[in-house]
Amino acid sequence: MSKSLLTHLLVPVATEEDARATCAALEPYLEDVERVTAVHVIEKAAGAMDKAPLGKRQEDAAEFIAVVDSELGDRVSVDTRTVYGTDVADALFDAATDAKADAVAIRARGGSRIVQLLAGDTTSKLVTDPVVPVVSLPHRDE
Amino acid sequence: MSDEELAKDLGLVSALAVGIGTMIGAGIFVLPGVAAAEAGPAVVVSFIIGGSIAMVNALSVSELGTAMPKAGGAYYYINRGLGPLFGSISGMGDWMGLAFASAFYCIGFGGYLATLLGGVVVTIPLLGSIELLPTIVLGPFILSDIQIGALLAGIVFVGVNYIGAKETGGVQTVIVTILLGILTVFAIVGFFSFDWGTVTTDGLTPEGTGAILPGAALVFVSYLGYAKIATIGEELKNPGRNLPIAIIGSVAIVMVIYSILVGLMVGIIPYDSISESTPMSDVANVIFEGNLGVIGVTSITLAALLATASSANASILASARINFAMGRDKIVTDWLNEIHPRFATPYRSIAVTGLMIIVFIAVLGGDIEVLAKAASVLHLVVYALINAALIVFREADVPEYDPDFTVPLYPITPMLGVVLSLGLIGFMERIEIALGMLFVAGAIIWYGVYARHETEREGVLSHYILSRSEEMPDAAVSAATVARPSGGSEYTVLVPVSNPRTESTLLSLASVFAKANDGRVQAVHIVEVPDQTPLSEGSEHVRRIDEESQQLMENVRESTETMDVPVDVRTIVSHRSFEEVFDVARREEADKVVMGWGADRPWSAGRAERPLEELTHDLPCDFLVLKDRGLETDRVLVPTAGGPDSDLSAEIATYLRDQLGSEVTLLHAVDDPTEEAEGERFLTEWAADHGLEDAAIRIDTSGDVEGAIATAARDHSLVIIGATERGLLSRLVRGSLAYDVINDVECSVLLAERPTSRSLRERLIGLQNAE
Repeated sequence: MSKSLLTHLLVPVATEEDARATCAALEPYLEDVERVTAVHVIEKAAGAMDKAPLGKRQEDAAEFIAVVDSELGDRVSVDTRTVYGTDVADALFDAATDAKADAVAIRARGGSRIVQLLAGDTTSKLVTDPVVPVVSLPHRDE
Repeated sequence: MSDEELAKDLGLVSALAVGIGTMIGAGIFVLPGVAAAEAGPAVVVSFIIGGSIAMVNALSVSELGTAMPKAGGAYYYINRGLGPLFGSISGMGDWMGLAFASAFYCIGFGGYLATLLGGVVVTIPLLGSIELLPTIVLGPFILSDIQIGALLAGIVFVGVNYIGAKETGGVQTVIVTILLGILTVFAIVGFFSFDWGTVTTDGLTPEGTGAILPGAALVFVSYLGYAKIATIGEELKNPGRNLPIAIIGSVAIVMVIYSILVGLMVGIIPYDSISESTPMSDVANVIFEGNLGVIGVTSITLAALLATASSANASILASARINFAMGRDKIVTDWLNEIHPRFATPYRSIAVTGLMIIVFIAVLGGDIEVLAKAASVLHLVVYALINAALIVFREADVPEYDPDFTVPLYPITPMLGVVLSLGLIGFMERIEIALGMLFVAGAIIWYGVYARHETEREGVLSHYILSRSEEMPDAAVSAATVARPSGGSEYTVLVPVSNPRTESTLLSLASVFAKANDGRVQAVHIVEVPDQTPLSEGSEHVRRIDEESQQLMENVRESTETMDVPVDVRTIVSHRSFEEVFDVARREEADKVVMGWGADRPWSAGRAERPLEELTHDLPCDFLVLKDRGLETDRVLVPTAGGPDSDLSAEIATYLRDQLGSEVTLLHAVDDPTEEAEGERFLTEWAADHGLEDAAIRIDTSGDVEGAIATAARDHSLVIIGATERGLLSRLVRGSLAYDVINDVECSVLLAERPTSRSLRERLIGLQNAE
C-alpha cells in the first residue's frame, strides 16, 4: 500500500498575502490532504544583529500562520509553527523532518531575477536540493 | 536546540563584538586629531574621563537591561519608568542621536576613503577626466570630497540595510578580531616610535587643564556603542548574565584601547599636528616608515573603513529597534515598522533614518565636531533619564522589577550618573547644546500633539505620584496629571446597528455600561450593500444612504433613554457587515461591543469574507450579544461556574445593579445534593470576589446545567451567560449554538464573551510575548 504524497503537507508562508494565496492555490487539492503544517521561518543572523527586530518578526509570524489555520482549519487538520534558522530552505526542511511531513508545498513567489538575488531565492534552493518531495503549486487567478 | 534558543542566538562573544565594533570606529579612527588639538596631550585624560562617565551609565543600563531585556533599550526603560512624555524624549533623542552618530561615522569613513582615493582621476571617454571624489561647490553650499565620500558611504550603508544583506555573527566577530589584531600590531610597532619628548614639547596641558573636560565632552561620542547591546536585549542568550558582562566589558575594553593608542599618538606626532580627519593613517605613515611601509598604512586605512562602517551599520540597525519599541507603544506610528515582504527588513524605518543621516552629512558634515557633540548631548540627556528611571523603579517597588544585575552603591551610582551626564553637557558649545535641545523640544511637542493622544501607557512614576496624591507636593501631582497620556483612555461602547427603528434597546444597554465607566457610546449604522455597488466616498448612492441613516439614527437617539451619556452616530456602508463590526471595534479601540441577535440582522447570516474563526478567535474587546425578548432589567440571573467569561457576566451585573438598581441572583449548578455546601461556599466567595456580596444565591443540585438555568430563568427578566469556552460568537453565527437554553427560556438573554487572554493582555499592557 503506497500512501499519497499529499497526506501531510508542510506549507511555508512568508507574508499574510502569501498565506492567503498559498491557501487558495492548495484549495483544489485538499481532498487528498489530511494534515497541513503551516510554517513561517524567521531568518536569524546566527550571532549578529538581525535585519529586523525579533519581536516584530514574531508578531508578524503569528498573524501569517493564523491565516492558514482560519482558511483551511475547517477542511483539514492544521498545525502552525514558527521556526528560526539562518537559511530559510534548510529551516523548512528541518521543520518538515520534525513534523514528519510527506512533502513541502510551495507557491513560488516569482519576482525579477534581481529581486530573487537580493532577497535570497528560497524557491530555487528548495527545489534544487530537496530533502523531502517539494510540490510547486500553480497560481490561481485571483 | 529549542526554538527559544534559536530565536535568541546572540551569545556573549557576539554581544561583545557588537559593543566593541560599534564603539571603536569613532574613538580611534576619527576623533583623536580634533580632540588632541582641543585638549593637548592630556587628551588621554579626556578619554579616561569620558569612559568613566560612560561606565557609570553602563552600570545602570545593565541593571535595567537585565530587568527588562526588551527591544528598544534606553527608550523602553524610560518609557516604562518615567512615562510616555520622557519616553518620547528618550526615544526621539536616542533615534536622532544614532542618526547624528551614524552621520559622524560616515564622515570618518569618507575621510579615509578620501585619503585612499584622493586625487585619483578617472578618464571617461567623451566626458574627459573627473576626480573620483570631487569637491562640489553650489553657491555658498560646499560639499567637500570627504562629504562626497561620506554621502556615498551613507547611501551604501542604508541601501545594504534596506535590502538586508546577510550578515552573520561569524563575519562580525572576524571583523572585530581583525581590527583588534591590526591595532595590536600598530601599538607594538608604535611603541618604538614613541617619544616622551614629543608629548611634553609644550607641557602636558598646553591648552590649559580647563580644556580636558571639553575634550571629554567631545570624545564621549566614542563610547555610545554599548547602549546598542541593550537595544537588542531580547535577542541575547541568557541576558541576565551576558548583558551586563557585554555592556560593562565592552566599555572597559575600548577604554583601555583608546587610552593606549591615543597615548601613543601624542608621543609620535605633536598633538597639534595630528590630522583632524584621518589621524590613524597619519600616524601609521610615521610608524610604518622603514618597516611595514605601505602595507601597514593601507591595512590601517582599511581597518578604519571597516570600523567606521560597522559602527554606522550597527547604529542603523539599533535605531530600527527603537522605532519598533516606540511603534508598539504608539509613540510613533506603527506604519514605520512594517517588514518588507521580500527583504524581511523594517524598510520604512531604515529609509527614514537613512534620510536623516544623509541630510546630516550634507548640512552639518563640514564640521565633524558639531555632529559628534550634538550626538553626545542627545545621548547624555537620555542617560540622565535612564538613571532617573532606575531610581523610580527601585523606589516605587514595582513587583515585576527584578533585575539579575544590580548597580553597586545604590542610590549613589545612579545619582552620580544623572549629575555627570548633565554636567558633561555643560562643557559643550552653545550651538551644540541648542541643537540637542531643539530635538528635545521637538520631542515634547510631538508628545503633546501626537503621542499623548495615541499611547495608553502610563509610567511607573506618574502612577506612583497619582496613587499617593495626598502625600505628594501639589506641583508634582498636577504635572503628572497634565502629562498623562489620553490615548485610548476614553471608555467606548460600540453598538453596531442594522435597523435603527428597532435598536433602541441596545443603545440603552450600551449607555448603562458607558455611564458606569464615564465613557461614550459609539452607535454605528452598518448599511450592507451588494458587492456590485461601489463604496467610494463620493458616490451619490452612498451619500444618500448616509443622509437617510443619520436621520434615522438621530430619531432613535432622541427617543432612547441614554442616561446623559454622549452618543456618537456614524454610518458605514459595507459589503460585509459582520467583518465590519470587528474592523470598527479595532479602529475605535472599543472596550465593549453590544450587538443584537435575531433573524432580521445581516450578521446573523454570517456573511463574512474572511472565515469566522479568524475573526472570532481574536476578539478586539468584550462582546455582548443580546437575544432581545423585550429588555427588562429588574431581576437579573447570572449562572456561573467561575472562569474569565463569567468575570465579564459579573462586571455587567454590577453595572446593571449600580446604574438601574437591578436585583441580581447568582446561580451555580452542582452534580448532586452532597455537594451543595461546597457549591454554596464557592458561590459566596465568587460573589465577594466580584463585588456582588448583596446578590441572592441559588444552588441547583439537579446535575443538569441547562435545565437549572431554564428553571431559574422563569423567575427572572434577564439572563447573563458567559461563554464557557472560546468561539461562542462563531457558533452563534453558524447557528450551531451549544446552549439550547437560549431558545428554551422566555426572557432576554445576554451572552458575554471576553477576548482570549493573549489579546486581552496585549491590549492592556502592550506586550505580545510577555512571559
